[in-house]
Amino acid sequence: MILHVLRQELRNLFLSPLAWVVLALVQLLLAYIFLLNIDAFIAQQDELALATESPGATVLVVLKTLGNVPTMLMVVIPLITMRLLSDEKRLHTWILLSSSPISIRAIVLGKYFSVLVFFAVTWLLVCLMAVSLGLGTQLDLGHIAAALMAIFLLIAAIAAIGLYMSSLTVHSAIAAIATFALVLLLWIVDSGASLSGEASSLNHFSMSFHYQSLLGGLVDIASVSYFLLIASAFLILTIRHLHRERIDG
Amino acid sequence: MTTLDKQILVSVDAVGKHYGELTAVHEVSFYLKKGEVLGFLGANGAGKSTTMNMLCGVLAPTRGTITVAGYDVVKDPINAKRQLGYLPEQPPLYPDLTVDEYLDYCAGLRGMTKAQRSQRINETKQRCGLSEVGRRIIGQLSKGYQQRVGIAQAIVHLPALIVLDEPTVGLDPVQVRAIRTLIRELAQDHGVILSTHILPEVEAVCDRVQILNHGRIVFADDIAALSAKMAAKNLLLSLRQAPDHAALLAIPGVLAIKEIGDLRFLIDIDESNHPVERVAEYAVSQGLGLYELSPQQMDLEQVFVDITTDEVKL
Repeated sequence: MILHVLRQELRNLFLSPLAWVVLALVQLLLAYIFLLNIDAFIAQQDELALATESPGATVLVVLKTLGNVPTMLMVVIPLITMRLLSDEKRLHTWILLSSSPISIRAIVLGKYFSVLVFFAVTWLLVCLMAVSLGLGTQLDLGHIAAALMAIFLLIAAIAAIGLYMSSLTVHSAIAAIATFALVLLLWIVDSGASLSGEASSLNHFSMSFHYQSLLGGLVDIASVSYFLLIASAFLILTIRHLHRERIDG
Repeated sequence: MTTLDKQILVSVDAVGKHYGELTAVHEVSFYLKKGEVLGFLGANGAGKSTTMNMLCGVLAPTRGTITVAGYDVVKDPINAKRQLGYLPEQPPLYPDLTVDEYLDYCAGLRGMTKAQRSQRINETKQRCGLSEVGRRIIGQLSKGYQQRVGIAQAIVHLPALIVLDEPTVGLDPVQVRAIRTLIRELAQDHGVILSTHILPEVEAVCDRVQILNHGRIVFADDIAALSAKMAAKNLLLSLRQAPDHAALLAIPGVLAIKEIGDLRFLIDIDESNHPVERVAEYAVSQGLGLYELSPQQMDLEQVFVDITTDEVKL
């Protein structure tokens, strides 16, 4: 049943021009940033060669590029998730789903995994872009893998938040803005502490803190579970909210 | 389980729904047997749609129990929902899909395997007159076609129970007749619950009627009983010349006479001793200039208004 919903959602996504535009623009922007970074790297190459312990292409090109990915995901994922549940309410098709022999959990998970599959395509393209540099130089593949995992975890977390916001309203635009606002808040929540250069307990709530930690090549259980916890918490909230609606009308 | 119980497809027992302070449905109990069409009548806001939503598991009742084919809708929703097909008030359509894609998705949601689907979808399209529009995008179809896609969605998986909330809204008279015929056809091997505020529809397709008013069932009986309620209890008599009241009242079977206009009279009659011929003979023999004598049958609208306004007075 989850698969049936998933397949339908993917079909809807790939039939809509929005999805293709999103994929194309992300790819275009990222490719441009990637090229700029390669350019900068080549320009600096002579100095870098002289220095000992200098960072290589992995850090200066790949990770620098991947550092831009969160900003794009923050904008793009809410645009894809905003319709998932709000449209079902707006079109009155929620009644079709809720009178069918399928559990709310299966509906929610089906929709959630459809977003993950969709962004897995973007993610794979990012992976290819990163690894393509390996044709010309030696890369620290372990480090890059950690960074790519961070990106996927981020996708999983933002998508769950987006799905939840979409369950709260019939207006997809509101769902998108609310998702963006909440993700941004989580991203910058510790920036006051970072500015003053102190370690703060707020760090633990910050998406950027955990993302940077993974991006730095430190695969830390705390950081990985941070993203997984956010994803599961918002999925549970979504399911609970929809159950609640069945009871309260 | 006795054989009688096996026949019962739906049983709704003392079900109520509150939205905070507001009570949408007070207490509703009814049942449906296989092969029956049960009509749900009521003004807008009487609680019809809420009741249907509860029946189909879309809303949870505040109290009471609902079972569909023996499965409790709240405790065992998946099994209960396998037994039903539902057309809500607003047909639940995805405007971007084609009719074929949509019906395929619905059939899958209702648990049909891929192999079973395509033949069933073709049959359903034929039944609902959708054969030529299978590849059209739903959003571009006319209201009448969309309504029929909504009905198709409810019956594509041949459920034991079909719940239709105002199925003929937005259809032209020819389509309305076709849909009514379809509903009668479906009733041969399914149970159908139909809500409507179109009264002739009830007369045309239902076996039993339930009138809902302010969240309560105020009338529940078969069509025959409803017809009995509508039976003539009055005679309308129009004359050219004034009759002798006492003489008229003396005619056996005449209970009371009320003048409702210039020389027009409403006569209350005793149905077991129908006096219509005697009244005619009397009027003619006295040369009163009889030009109208007709039984006043109450129509369904009137019965409906009577029943629902009585309730308000209580």
